Amino acid sequence: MFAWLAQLLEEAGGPTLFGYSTTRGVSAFVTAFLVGLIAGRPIIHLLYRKGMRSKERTYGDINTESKAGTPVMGGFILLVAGLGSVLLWCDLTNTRIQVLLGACLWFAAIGFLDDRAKVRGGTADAGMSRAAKYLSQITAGVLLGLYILHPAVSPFAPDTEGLLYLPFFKNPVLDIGWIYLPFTVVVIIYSANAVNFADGLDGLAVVPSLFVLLVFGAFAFVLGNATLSEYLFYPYTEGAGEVMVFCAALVGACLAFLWFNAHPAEVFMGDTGSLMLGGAFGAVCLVLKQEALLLIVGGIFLAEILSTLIQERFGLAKGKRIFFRAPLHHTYQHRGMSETKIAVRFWIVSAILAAIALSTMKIR
Amino acid sequence: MAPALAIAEEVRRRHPEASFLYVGVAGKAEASMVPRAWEADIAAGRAKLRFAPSRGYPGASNPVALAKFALLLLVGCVKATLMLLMFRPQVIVATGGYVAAPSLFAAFALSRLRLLRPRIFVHEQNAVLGRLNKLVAGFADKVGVAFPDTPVAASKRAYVGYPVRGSVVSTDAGPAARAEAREKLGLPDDARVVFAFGGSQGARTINRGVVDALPRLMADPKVHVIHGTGKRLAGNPYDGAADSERRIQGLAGLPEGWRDRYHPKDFFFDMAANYAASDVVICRGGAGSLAEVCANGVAAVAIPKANLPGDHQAFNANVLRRAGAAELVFERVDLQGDEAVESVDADQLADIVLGLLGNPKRRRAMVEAGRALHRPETLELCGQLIEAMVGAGDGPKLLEPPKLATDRVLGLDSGRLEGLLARVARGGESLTEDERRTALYKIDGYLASAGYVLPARGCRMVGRGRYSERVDVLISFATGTDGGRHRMLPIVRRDAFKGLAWLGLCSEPVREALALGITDPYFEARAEAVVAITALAREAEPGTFDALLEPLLACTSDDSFEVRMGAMRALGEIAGSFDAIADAFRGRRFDNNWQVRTAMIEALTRLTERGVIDPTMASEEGHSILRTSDGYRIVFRLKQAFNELPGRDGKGA
Repeated sequence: MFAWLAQLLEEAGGPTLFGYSTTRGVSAFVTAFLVGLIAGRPIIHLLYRKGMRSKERTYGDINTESKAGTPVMGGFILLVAGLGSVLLWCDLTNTRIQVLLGACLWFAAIGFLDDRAKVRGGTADAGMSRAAKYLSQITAGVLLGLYILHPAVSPFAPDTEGLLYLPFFKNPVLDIGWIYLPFTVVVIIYSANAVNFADGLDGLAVVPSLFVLLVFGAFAFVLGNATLSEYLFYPYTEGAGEVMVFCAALVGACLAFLWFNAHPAEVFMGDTGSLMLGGAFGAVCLVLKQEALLLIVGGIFLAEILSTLIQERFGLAKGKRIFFRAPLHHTYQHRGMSETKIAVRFWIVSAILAAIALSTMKIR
Repeated sequence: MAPALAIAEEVRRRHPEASFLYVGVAGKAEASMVPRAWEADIAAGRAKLRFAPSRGYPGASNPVALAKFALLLLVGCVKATLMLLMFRPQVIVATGGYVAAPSLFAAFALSRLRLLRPRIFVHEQNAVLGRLNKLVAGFADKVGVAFPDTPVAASKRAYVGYPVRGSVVSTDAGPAARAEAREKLGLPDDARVVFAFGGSQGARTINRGVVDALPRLMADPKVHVIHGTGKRLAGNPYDGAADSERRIQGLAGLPEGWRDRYHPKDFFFDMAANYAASDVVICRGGAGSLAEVCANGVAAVAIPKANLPGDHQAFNANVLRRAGAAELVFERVDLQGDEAVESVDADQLADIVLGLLGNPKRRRAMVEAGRALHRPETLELCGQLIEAMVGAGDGPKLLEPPKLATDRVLGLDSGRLEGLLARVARGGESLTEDERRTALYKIDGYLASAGYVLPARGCRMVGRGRYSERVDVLISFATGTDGGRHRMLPIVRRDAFKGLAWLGLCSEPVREALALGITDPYFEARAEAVVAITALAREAEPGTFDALLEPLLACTSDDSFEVRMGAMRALGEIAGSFDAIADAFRGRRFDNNWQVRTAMIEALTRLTERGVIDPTMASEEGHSILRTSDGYRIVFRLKQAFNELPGRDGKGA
């Protein structure tokens, strides 16, 4: 909204301050954080009153009883703060922003339905059916892929839609053409579910997500800035700067959520939050064509999802365990490490991974 | 098929003008039986036999078989649709089994499309709904059930009973009829007659069980055994008569002249006379056999066949037991290689049969209970129900089924059974002897299952339920090897050790198994083995586990912290002096895992309690272990206070 006002102001000969994406980025961050702080407690109280409270789940001998009853669906704090700020500060005529908003809402809706089913079913295993969950996520992926590939709507220059970039390489490594479509589906499902798997301890999912958004925000800024992108040998991508404002808003929302989610948590993000965050940065990396970067900056998520897959496919399928417990953070819990220590160590690792990811801008 | 034909006959008796279509599967029994039964009607054009392909659901594990099944069913449904459209039946009668699937699905589709609205009457002969009937019960108009508490929605269920053939029921049940039957069969009037049979082709388990029980049965000079060994048919590898005779050759301890009192037969032309002459019947748990037993008024010992879809024979027989009409002897399934081999405990069978023969009062009560389950008017009820479906008559007045004792065990799934056994182990509930035996039957089934989930659960339940008669199974699961490799999957081995710990037996073989267990390649199995040693050593005489001291010391530097932790506790339980374990203890003082260090302190406590070291020394040793610790845990005071509220009983928030 402010982007539109700024344009009117500029046409009328006023100050151009709000036309700069940097200014709007900072404003979006501050707005989201404040909105999150103010709206957080009423949302938590509302969730509590509506009975949206988490159910106990036992992982072997890891008892989660002390966590049962905490309000769940805290993703609404992220949604209200993040998307509210995006609506205020982003250029809503930018198709990337429209797509990102759509992806957020789509995945938040899937997560909401799943959370609600769990609460109504009375157990943590009563969620949506696997088929419904994956089908809706695949649909989102296909729509995103069509957006990127179809010449009529694609945000990329003609003949560059199918190009695949990798970190540490200056030039696109491959033109995979229409294979890009299934590729987007894989990327979006991976990122949404990776956050979902990591969401198991207080603050464990939100902080690494925040680092991911920070790094992608930086990349968006570079790609959307003519001078910087030329200096760093990135293809200048018009309109990518706006994605930075989007990322800044979500970073602010994540911080506000952490305010309440820090151990001992007053609210959990639930699938509403984890699918929304994962869907959001999955979509961000797609509209910036920096998919492989997600594996580096989101290394924590990769470890969580890989440990689960390995445990199931190569362990339990053969009648044994490979890790004490899966996802990974439960292994550390089982070893007796306290929850806060695990979370903080995972944050440290994700900060280091973010630094490595940023360094790929120059080291190519 | 027999119930379907019986119902058709009843409808024909009421409405001679009615026409019939039998939809069967080509090449099955109906291909020859139906033309014989309906010969006159088919000739007169009032009845037809047609075929629609179908086959049993193969399970989801084999995609090729599943695809074949789906394709065949699809073809069957198309064929059945055309048949129904041409024949336009008012009522469809289905008596279960996959043969009925194409017609029922076609009828469902046609009524949804409003092309045809046949009424559907399903008759379930077993005490549990078969797979198809469970599906069909949703859109059938009425579901007739043969047993009093078959689970069907109350609005649809009709307790009609099983249509027993008149020729197998003795018309008169008095002592005169019995004497007449015995004379006919050449049995003395004062004999105690046991009649055992396992269906027309014989049942290996029953044949072997009866033969093995012969020495004990024949020890009573008045006992006569009529043994239906079964007739071998082409294509069946099992020859009951030959198998039984072979097994008899190996028996010892049979009294003089027993052959005169043992009457093996491979086929019976007059079942009614055999029933009438008998005091006790040993039979399978098929719905037909049990219904005949009830109708004839004989005390029964049922040996339900295990490993059947839905375990329906066990459920059928259990209904009779709950009604007080039968005793049950369960089969035990053993895996010998890849082949499942069933057997029964001949001693248990002999105990029960001899007990019944010596207790006429109990037999009379069983006969009464069985008669209460028999519905002689089954066919009439079915006829009236079918008439009511097409708008003729109000339908029969159905009797309330007799109330039976509830089943606490057989109907449980594995998870709930484990929960029940755990509650029993804690002392919260108790099981009757019958329930314990039923639970063991279910556990045997789990132990013989594929995969790891059920066998592992079975192992835990053997321990929880303290079934010491299965200790050999646990030992072989835990340590059994096959060409140098473990026979069971790692998680099964782990839970076999868990079961051994709960079982609480401390015999030589168990100790040998535990010694092997602490060198198991799977870390969780090692961990459970050391936990089991700790638990057993606590109850055993001091010195019982001395031989395990050295291997346990090696475990204190295991890669897995769970093993190190368990080994420390075990050492605290078995060490005879601190010197023996001092090096291992001091070597692990700086173990990175605080839980291992905690276990060391707990071990020191046990050593002090056992008088192995004095408290001052324990305290000194313990102090050196402390180091800084990340075992710090936050206590959430708010929730703790809430849980301490009177009325919460520690239920949690």
